[in-house]
Amino acid sequence: MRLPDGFRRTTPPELSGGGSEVEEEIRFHIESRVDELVAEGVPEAEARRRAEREFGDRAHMVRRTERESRGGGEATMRVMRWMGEAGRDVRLAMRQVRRNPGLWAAALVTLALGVGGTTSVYSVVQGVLLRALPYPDEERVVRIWPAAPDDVDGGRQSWSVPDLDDWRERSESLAAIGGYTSTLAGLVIPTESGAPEEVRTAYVTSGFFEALGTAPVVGGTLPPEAEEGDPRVVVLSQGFWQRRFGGDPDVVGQVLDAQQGAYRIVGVMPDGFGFPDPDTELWTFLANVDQTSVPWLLRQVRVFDAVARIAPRTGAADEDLATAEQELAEVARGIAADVPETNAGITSVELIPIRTAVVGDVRTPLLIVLAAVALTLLIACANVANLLLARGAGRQREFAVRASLGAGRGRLVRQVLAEGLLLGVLGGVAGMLLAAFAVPALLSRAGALIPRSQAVTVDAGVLLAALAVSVGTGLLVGLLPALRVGRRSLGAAGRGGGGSGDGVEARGLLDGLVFAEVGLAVVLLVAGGLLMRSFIELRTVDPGFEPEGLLVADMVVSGYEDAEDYIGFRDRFLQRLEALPGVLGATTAKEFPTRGMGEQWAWRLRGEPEPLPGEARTAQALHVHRDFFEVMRIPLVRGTLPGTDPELSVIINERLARSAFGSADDAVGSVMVVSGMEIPVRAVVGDVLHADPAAEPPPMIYVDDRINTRRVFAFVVRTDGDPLALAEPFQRTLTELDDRQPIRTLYTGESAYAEAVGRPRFFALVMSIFAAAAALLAAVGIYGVVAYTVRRRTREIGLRLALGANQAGVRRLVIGGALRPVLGGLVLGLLVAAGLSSVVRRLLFGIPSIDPVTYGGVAAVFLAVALLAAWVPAREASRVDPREALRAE
Amino acid sequence: MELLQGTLDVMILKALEWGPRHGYAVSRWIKSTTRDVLTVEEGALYPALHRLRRKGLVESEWGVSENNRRAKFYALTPKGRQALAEEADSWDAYARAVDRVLKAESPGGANG
Repeated sequence: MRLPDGFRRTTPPELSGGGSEVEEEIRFHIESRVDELVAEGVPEAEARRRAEREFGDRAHMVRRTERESRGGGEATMRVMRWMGEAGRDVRLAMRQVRRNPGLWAAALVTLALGVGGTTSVYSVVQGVLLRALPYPDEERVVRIWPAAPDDVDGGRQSWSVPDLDDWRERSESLAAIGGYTSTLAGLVIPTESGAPEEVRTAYVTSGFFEALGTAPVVGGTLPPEAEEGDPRVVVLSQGFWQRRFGGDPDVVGQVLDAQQGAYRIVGVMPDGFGFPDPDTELWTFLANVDQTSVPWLLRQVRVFDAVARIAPRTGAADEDLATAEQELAEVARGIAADVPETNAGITSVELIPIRTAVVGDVRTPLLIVLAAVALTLLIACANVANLLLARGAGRQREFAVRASLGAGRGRLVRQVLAEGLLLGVLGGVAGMLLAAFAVPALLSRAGALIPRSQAVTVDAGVLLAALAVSVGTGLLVGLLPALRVGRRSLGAAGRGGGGSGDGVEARGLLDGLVFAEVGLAVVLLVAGGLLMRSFIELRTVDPGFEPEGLLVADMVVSGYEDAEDYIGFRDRFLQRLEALPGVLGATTAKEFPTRGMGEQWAWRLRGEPEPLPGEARTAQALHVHRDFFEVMRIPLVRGTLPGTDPELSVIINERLARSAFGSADDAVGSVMVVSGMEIPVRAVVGDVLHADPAAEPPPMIYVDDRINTRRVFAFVVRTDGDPLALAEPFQRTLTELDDRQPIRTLYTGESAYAEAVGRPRFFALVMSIFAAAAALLAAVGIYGVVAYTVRRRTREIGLRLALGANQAGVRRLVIGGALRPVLGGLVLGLLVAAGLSSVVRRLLFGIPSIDPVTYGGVAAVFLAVALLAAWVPAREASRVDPREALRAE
Repeated sequence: MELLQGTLDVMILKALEWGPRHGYAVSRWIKSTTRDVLTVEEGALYPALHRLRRKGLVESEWGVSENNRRAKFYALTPKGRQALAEEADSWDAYARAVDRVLKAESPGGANG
C-alpha cells in the first residue's frame, strides 16, 4: 500500500501504555482532535472533554470495532441487526393495521376462524387417531375374527373358550391370546346411599393382559395360575380405585365385597387403560361366570372376543402380522379337521390391528372433517391473500417511495412478509383461544359418539400444530403479495402511481385465487351437501317404533333361583310400574332396540339338512315380554300376539319372513328350526331400526321370554308425559320391591334413537358448518376481488362509455370478466368432488354419491353468489361518468 | 439528519477515493464535505472501517501521521473501488428520487 507523501511506514505499535491495537487507533483519533482544538485556542481540559463527547462511548466503540475486526461477532451482529430491522418491520406492519382497521379485522377474523377450526379438529384427530394407545408395541396387538367363507349376514362371529385354548396351543405366531366379554352383568357392589351399583366388568381369560401388555400402576394383573385355582381376583381401573378406595396404595390384598362374592384385589391399571370399553372398571376371570348362566366351556358357545399379541419374527410388525394370518388359517383348518361338528366352517381368520379395531368407524369421517377444515383454512388464506394483494396493488406508490429512499427489494419483500406473519401470529393466537373453548364444547356434544374421545385434549402438541398452521398461513398469505413486490424493479419507482399499470399481471393472480377458492369451496360444499342430504334422509327413516314417551332402564337381575323367579320378579315390577300415574304401559326386552340386538342365533327351515358350523344362516334373537310390541308400538303385520299363557312359538320380522318364506302371509303358521327345536311362527311384525341406521334392519326372531328366560332386562315404560319425570318413581318402585337390584343405565327412547343417528348427524352438522363457512368465505372473496377489479377498470370503462359503449354492454363485459374464473373453479371443483366421491360414499345414506340435487344445488349457489358479487359493482361501473372516469387514475 | 443504513460505508469509500487516509482524517472529511449536515457519532466510524476491511473493500497499515503519531491508514482495494462506483450510481438515483418525491404536487391517495 502506498502511503501519502510525507508519511512513513512503521511497524505495528508495541502498544504504548497497554491496550489493544484498536484502542491505540482510537487514542490517535482522540489525541488528534485534542491537538486540533488546542490549536484553535480551546483549553486542553475542555478540548479533551469535547473530543470525547464527539467520539461517543469509547469503550463501546472499541468493543464493537474489535468484534467487527475479528469477524467472530459477525453472526451475532447480523442477528442483532436483523432483529432490529424485523422490529421495524413489525412496527410498520402495525401502522398498516392502524391505517386499515376494517380490512385487518376482516382478515384476522377469517384467519382466527380458520386456525381455530383446524386446531379444534386436529385436537380431536390427534387424540383419537394419532395418540399412542396404552399398549407397548401397539402394532403387534391385534383383534382376531373368524373369517367364515359364507358369512350370510356379514356379521362377524366371535370365539368360544375352547377355540382360544386351541389357538394358544397350536399356533407359534402368537405371543399371547386372551378372550373377553363385557356384555355380562358386572359385579354388583353395595353403596352407602343404599341402592347397589353394578360396576362395568370385563370377564377375561388368562392371556388377556399379556396380549395387551400394559403394566399396572399398583400390584399386578390377573395371575394366570389363579384361573384354575381361586379365580376370585380382580383388577381395578384407575377411576374405580380413586372413587372407591381414594387411591389407597395398599389396596392390593384388600377384598371387594360384591353381591357375587368376595374378590381379592390384585392390581390397579393406569389412567387411560380402557379395554374393551373406555368405561370398563373391573377385570376378573371368566372362570367366575357360572356355567349355567353362560356355558362357556362349550365349543359352540361363541360369544367371546379375542385379543392377541403377535410374536416377533422377522422384525417388521406388518410382515409378522401377515405371516401370522397365514399360519393361523392353517391352524384353523387343523382344528376344523379335528372337530368338524363345531368348527367345519371356520377355515381362516382375520387379524385387525388394535388401533383400527378401536377407531375404525370414525377414522374416515374424522379425516374427512380434518380435510374439510384444512380446505376451509386454505380458502381463508386465499381470501386474506386476496385482500393483501388487492391492497398491495394500491400500495405501489408507498413501495416506490420506500424503494427510492434506499429500501432494498429484500427489505420490501420482508416488510410484506412481516405483515403476513403478524397477521398469522395474531390470527393464530386468536384461533388457539377459540379452540380452547371449542374443543370442550365439541366433546360435550360428541364425546359419546367418538371412541377414545377421553384422550382428546388441547395439549402442547396440538398447540405446536396450531402455531405451525398459523405461521404457515401467515407466510402463505404474505408470500403472494411479497412475490409481486419483489418482482417490481426500482425503475418503477419513478412512475409513482401505477394506477392502471398493474392490470394484466395482478388480475391474472387475483383471477387465479378466485379460481382456486371457488374450486376448493365447491368440493367442500358438495361434501357438506351430500352429508346433509343423507342426514335428512336418515331422519326420515321410520325407526319402526315410537321412541317418544319411553323411559328405559337396563338391568341385570340377580339373586333369584329359577327362571320362574326371575319372570315373577319382572311381572311384579311391571305391574307396579303400570300402576304409576301417567304410565300407559310397561314391558321388557333383553335389550332395547337401537342399543342392542340380542343374540345371534342360527336358523333353518324344517327339512333342510343341518349346515356346517359357520355356514348357518343367522338371525338376531331378542327375548321379549308379551306386551313388547304394543308398548313399543311396533306394528303387527300378520298373525296374533301371544296371550297370557305362554306357548312355544316365535315372532319374526318382515325381513326374515321375506328371506325365509317369501312373504309374511307364508310365514305365519310355518315352522322354523331354531336352536335345534322346531318352533312355529305365530306372527310377523314390522322391522325396527338398528344401532347402525344406515344398514339394513337385520332378520329378527322375537322369543317369548317365559319360554326361554334371560336375566338381562331393559324395562320399557311408556308415558303420556315427560319420560324423565318417571325416573324417580321408577327407582322408588324398584327399591320398594327389591332393594338389591341395581339399575345399569337409565335413558329415554328418544335419546337412544338420537344416539343411533347421532354420529352421522354430528358429522353432517360439522361438515355443513364448514361447508357454509367455506361458501361464505368464497362469496366474500369473489365479491372482494370482482369489486376491486371493477374499480381498477373504472378508467377503461369510462373510455368505453365515452367511445359510445352502452351501459348494458359494459355490465356484460364486467360480469363476464368476473364470472370466468368462477365458472372455471366451479367446473374443476365439481370434477374433483366427483373424483373424491368414493371417499364419502361409505358415510352416505339413501342418496347416490354423485347426487344430482347436491351437485346442481352447489353449482346454482355459486353462480348466484358470483352473479351477485359482479352485479353490484358492474351496475356502479356502467353508471360511471366518463369525464370522472378518465380523470381517475 | 439520521444516516440511512449503509450510507456511512459509502461515505467512507468516497473519503478514500483520492488516496489512503487514517480514521481521523476520514471523519474530518465527512464532516467538512457534508457541511456538518450529516453528523455521525465519530466512534461509529471505526466498526465500519474494520467491517469494510474484513469485507476486502479497504486495506489498512500502520504508519506515522503528520503530527508524528502512530496512526492506522486505510486505502481502497480494487474491489472497494468497484463497490464505490456501483454505490455512486444508486446514490444518484436515490438523490433524484428524493428530489422528485419532495417536489411532487400532491401526495396522492395511498390507495391509488
